[in-house]
Amino acid sequence: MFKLVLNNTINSVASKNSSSISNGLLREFSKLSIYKNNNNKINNCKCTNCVCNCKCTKKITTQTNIYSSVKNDIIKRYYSTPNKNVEDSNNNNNNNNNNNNKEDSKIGYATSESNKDKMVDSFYVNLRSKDDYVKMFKDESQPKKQEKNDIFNVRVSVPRPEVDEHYEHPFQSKDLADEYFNKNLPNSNEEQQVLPFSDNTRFSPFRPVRPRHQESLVINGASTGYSKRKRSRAVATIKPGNGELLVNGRTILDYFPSISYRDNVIQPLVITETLTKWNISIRAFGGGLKGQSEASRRALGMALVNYDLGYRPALKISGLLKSDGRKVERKKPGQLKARKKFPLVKR
Amino acid sequence: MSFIRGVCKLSKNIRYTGSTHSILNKSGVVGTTTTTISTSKFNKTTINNNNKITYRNYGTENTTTATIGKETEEIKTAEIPYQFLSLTTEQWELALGKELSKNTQDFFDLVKKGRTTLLRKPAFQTIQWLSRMKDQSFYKESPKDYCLVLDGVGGAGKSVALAQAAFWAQQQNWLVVYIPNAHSFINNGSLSHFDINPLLFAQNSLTFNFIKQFVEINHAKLKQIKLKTKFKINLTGWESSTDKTLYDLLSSAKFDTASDIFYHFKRELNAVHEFPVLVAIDSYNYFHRPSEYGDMYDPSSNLGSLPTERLLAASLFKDILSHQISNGVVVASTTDVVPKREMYKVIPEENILNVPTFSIYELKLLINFLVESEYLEKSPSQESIEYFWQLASGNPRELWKLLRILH
Repeated sequence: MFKLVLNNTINSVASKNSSSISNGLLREFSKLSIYKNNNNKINNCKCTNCVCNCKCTKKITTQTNIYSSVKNDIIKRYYSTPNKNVEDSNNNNNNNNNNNNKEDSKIGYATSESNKDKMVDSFYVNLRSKDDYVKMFKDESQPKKQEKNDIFNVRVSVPRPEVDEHYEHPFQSKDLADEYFNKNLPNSNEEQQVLPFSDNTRFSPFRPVRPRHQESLVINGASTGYSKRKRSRAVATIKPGNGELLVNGRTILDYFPSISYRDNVIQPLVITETLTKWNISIRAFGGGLKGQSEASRRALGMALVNYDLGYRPALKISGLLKSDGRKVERKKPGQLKARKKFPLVKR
Repeated sequence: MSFIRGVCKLSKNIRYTGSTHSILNKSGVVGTTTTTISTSKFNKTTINNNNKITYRNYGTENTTTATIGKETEEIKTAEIPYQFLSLTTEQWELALGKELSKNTQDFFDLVKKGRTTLLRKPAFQTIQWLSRMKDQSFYKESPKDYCLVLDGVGGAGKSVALAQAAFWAQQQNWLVVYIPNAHSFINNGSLSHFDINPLLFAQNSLTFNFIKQFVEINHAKLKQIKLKTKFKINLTGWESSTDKTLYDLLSSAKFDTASDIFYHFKRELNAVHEFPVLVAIDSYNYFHRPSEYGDMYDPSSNLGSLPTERLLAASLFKDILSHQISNGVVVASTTDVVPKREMYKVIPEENILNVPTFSIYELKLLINFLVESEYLEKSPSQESIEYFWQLASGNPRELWKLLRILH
């Protein structure tokens, strides 16, 4: 059972690591999460048909040939097979060119001198200045810069409130990982089936120290965690909800004014990707603000683990379940502080 | 006035989605078949006129039903229509005056694109309450009908909701007395002797400037209001009569007679019946705190002992629970700068309306607007939006700060 859990969660964590993990550095986190998503979708793909992230090898062909500047009617005549009926029907409009058609179809369009002049003229009409050549060269050699309008994923697409998960969407059991395990392994957390015969007579050399049956730490849908740091202690209680976070009955913004302390508290939620999924209330006491914030961080992590063991490996890898046992070292007699000595005096 | 008239026409033509729709129908359009299904989701609706006002609808589907010859039924599923009210600075100043509190002005200056605000639930609730009072013809049965106080945590959008309600009233042809900052309304200028009531202190410089700005905004309406009380101003010898209007009274204000005129203006305001009257006071806390004035000869007072009841302008607008405005009503909002405990003793809980913090959906709308106005280059991802919201616990002012710093 536990191996299965591990495999599943590690896979999920590995995918989550790439998208969002804040290792205490807020700025990096924000850069990571934002720029990755957008840069993936902005490619140098030039093709007009598809906008998505594809492996399309089409390229826009710029007008480099002389023949491309000529009208389409004339090109048809040149490349098409000589079906006279079709040609006549097409060329009734242009009566002036009818005389030259028969020669052109046999030999080629460019060979006749009258057509040559037309083509050359039409070529030079479009390209008079030197800058046009430079433009053409740039278009071929360098890819175009994308304009602002071409970047399609600039803004968040605000979904309709019917579709949006946060718009009056109550918390559901399928948001948690429980349902997956319960479907595949129903009643896995319970005791094994009792055998029909008495098992006591048998020799059991590898009897597990800890019983299989583990009591769940979730009481009335809520679980708790407790931890200490420096002189402060914290107890966190968790319930599935809509993202309330209270510290000693006050909002987290009110209690911890600085951003880094608030970030400390929220870190386990970021790593388990359960932001705005819980109603959390933390009781923190003793010590200062830094100690309280870091104590409440581990308490929240422990509460998550107590709620569902699936969260444990992700939190353990990121190091949020470490208990920090360091305390202030005591002052010694005969010394100024814990380590500092009195200044040396002769005699 | 041409602007205000234009807006009034506009507001009747606009079909709001949701709750405001029913409000407008109650007052104006009766006996028409309106079976409209607003299928315009996430569409930008622009109304081109002399005065451009744009409403971006982010609302949900609403189906309104009405029957012929009967009053329109109220919508049962009152869903919140999220809209941005985008005004230019000129429109704002023409409707509400040039003063603004510092906190709100800073955010407007950052975006540099007019003054756009998000219409939220408390704004609609105040508008609904105002329209209900108007239907009741301002008959006051209980203390609940006298005033309404918007309260909430700092940065939740109390004063924005108040300004939106005041703007709505201005559109609906109400006479609006808008006090954008009570701190400057109380502590401003020097004090002098007041003849009519010697217990009060006259505030000539404050009242003179206030009257000047008030006449600039509302001069067209004031010309239609005739005087009802009998009085005489001693310094100039100006007498009231039934022929004269309120505009004549206020335009005759000089620096020395400003406080006398302001006193009589309030007495006239109580008796106005031509227009419905709205008094909107921002940061109402300050009225229940001692002012910054003090006794010069008593050093122990430390210049912070004079109660606001002793000041002329403040004493006239302080009692919002038992005010004497016959054809009007008061809406106030609080601040987080000054403690509110003195105010809570006086005003019951029934009159207080809580302004909640942002939900995530509202945050998304704000970010979408900021990207549109090119304040943000890119929008943050879905996960970091949740992160910001949890970090700020939904407080809009804090969210704005986070977007500025982290993104």
